Amino acid sequence: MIRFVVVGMLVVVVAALQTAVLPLMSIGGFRPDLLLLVTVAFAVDDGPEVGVRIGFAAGLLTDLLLATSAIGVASLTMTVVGYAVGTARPFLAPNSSTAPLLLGFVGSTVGALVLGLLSSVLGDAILSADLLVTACIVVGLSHTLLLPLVLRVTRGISTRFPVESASAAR
Amino acid sequence: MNPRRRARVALAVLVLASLVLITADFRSDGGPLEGLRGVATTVFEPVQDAAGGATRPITGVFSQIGDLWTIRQDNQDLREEVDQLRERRLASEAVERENNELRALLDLRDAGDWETVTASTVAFTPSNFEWTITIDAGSEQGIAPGMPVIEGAGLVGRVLQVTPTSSRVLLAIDPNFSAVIEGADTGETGVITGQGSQLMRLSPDGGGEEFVLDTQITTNDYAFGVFPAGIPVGIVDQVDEGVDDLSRSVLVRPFVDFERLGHVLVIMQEPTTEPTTDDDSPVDGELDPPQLVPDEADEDTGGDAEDGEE
Repeated sequence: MIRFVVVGMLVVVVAALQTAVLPLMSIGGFRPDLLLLVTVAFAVDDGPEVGVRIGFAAGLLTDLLLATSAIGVASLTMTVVGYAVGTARPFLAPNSSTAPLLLGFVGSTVGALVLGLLSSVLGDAILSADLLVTACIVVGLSHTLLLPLVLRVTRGISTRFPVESASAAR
Repeated sequence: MNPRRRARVALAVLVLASLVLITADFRSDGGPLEGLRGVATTVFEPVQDAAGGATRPITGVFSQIGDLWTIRQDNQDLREEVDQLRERRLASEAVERENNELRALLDLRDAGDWETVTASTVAFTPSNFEWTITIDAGSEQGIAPGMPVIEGAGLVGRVLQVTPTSSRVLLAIDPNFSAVIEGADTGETGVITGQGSQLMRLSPDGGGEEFVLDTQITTNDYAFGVFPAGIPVGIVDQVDEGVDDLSRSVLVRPFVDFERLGHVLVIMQEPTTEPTTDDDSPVDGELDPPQLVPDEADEDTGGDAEDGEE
């Protein structure tokens, strides 16, 4: 229960930073998707089940803060990304420090791409290929740089408030 | 149940839930799911406001990083005094910037003789594929969906959703945004559409030959009257002649810096749904269906009718 509250508060704070602060530090008009990054970070450490739950919660919060996309698009995307990243983690070198970064880059880039495509297909306007590719590259690279910092936070939370079935997730 | 199976079950359940939400949102069209967004906006707006207010001085420091290191290297002993002077300077620059913004808003409002409501930007969209902002004024201040939003430099967008204390604004650079415009000097009309972080695309009504580099673009209140006439939009930045008139491409750089939105004005004018009846309407007085056709096409239709009657 405490873990639920702490993770929930983290997601809310991250969403507040995403909408109120990060736009002031954008790169070419694009910025990291911190809610997607938090999903990837939890999935890397705690496995697919945690990745799915946090992905759905973070995605649903993103949907509620958007105005033109259908509700459910971001939750669907982040749920699937959380599961995929969490499932892929055991197949990489267990003690590698670069494996999480690689997984974070791929997961973030694919997540941003899927989110952009679904937003375009289920929205009213078509996004250009240039815009989509640029957004994915910015998100992927920025997430790779930010992942070590975010992992410190998520690992701290998971250590202090472990998942009830943590032994199976690791 | 083993953890892997549990993860798969959770994935299936939550993917199904997401698909149900997507379907319900498409079918409801302004129903309870949109109300949920309104509740989320109302609840989250104070959090966003607090986060922005708490971190805005820090984000300003990054742009001063070069001077900071120069001062630290040159004068270690005066670090505390320099920090104090920097804080005072940032505070006074913020006040001066706000003063300039508000003066520009007053100038633009007075020029257009519009009834307006002033609001501040409290949050931007969390997505890289949607360009909207949240402002701290809503239905309590008389704001309604569809109302134009401007700032000192020009057109910002239009109100999309409204709650009692806040509103979501669709920015003019969003691909879902379009507006009827005209060349400020030539009067040639067209439609402008957002393209995200790229330049805005202008689709001229005619051949578009009068839209040349550095042509200033303003809104036109033709047909739907969504935006009042005369709001500055941008300046023609690129013209690609193409093979023929149909492939001519005109790109416009907006006047507004959409990454630095602060104070904005909401024009208290709800969009009309029927064409405006004025001196530009057809001679025989019939109301044609709303369409983005220049006046000369209507004049041709009126001329043919007169010939037919004879």
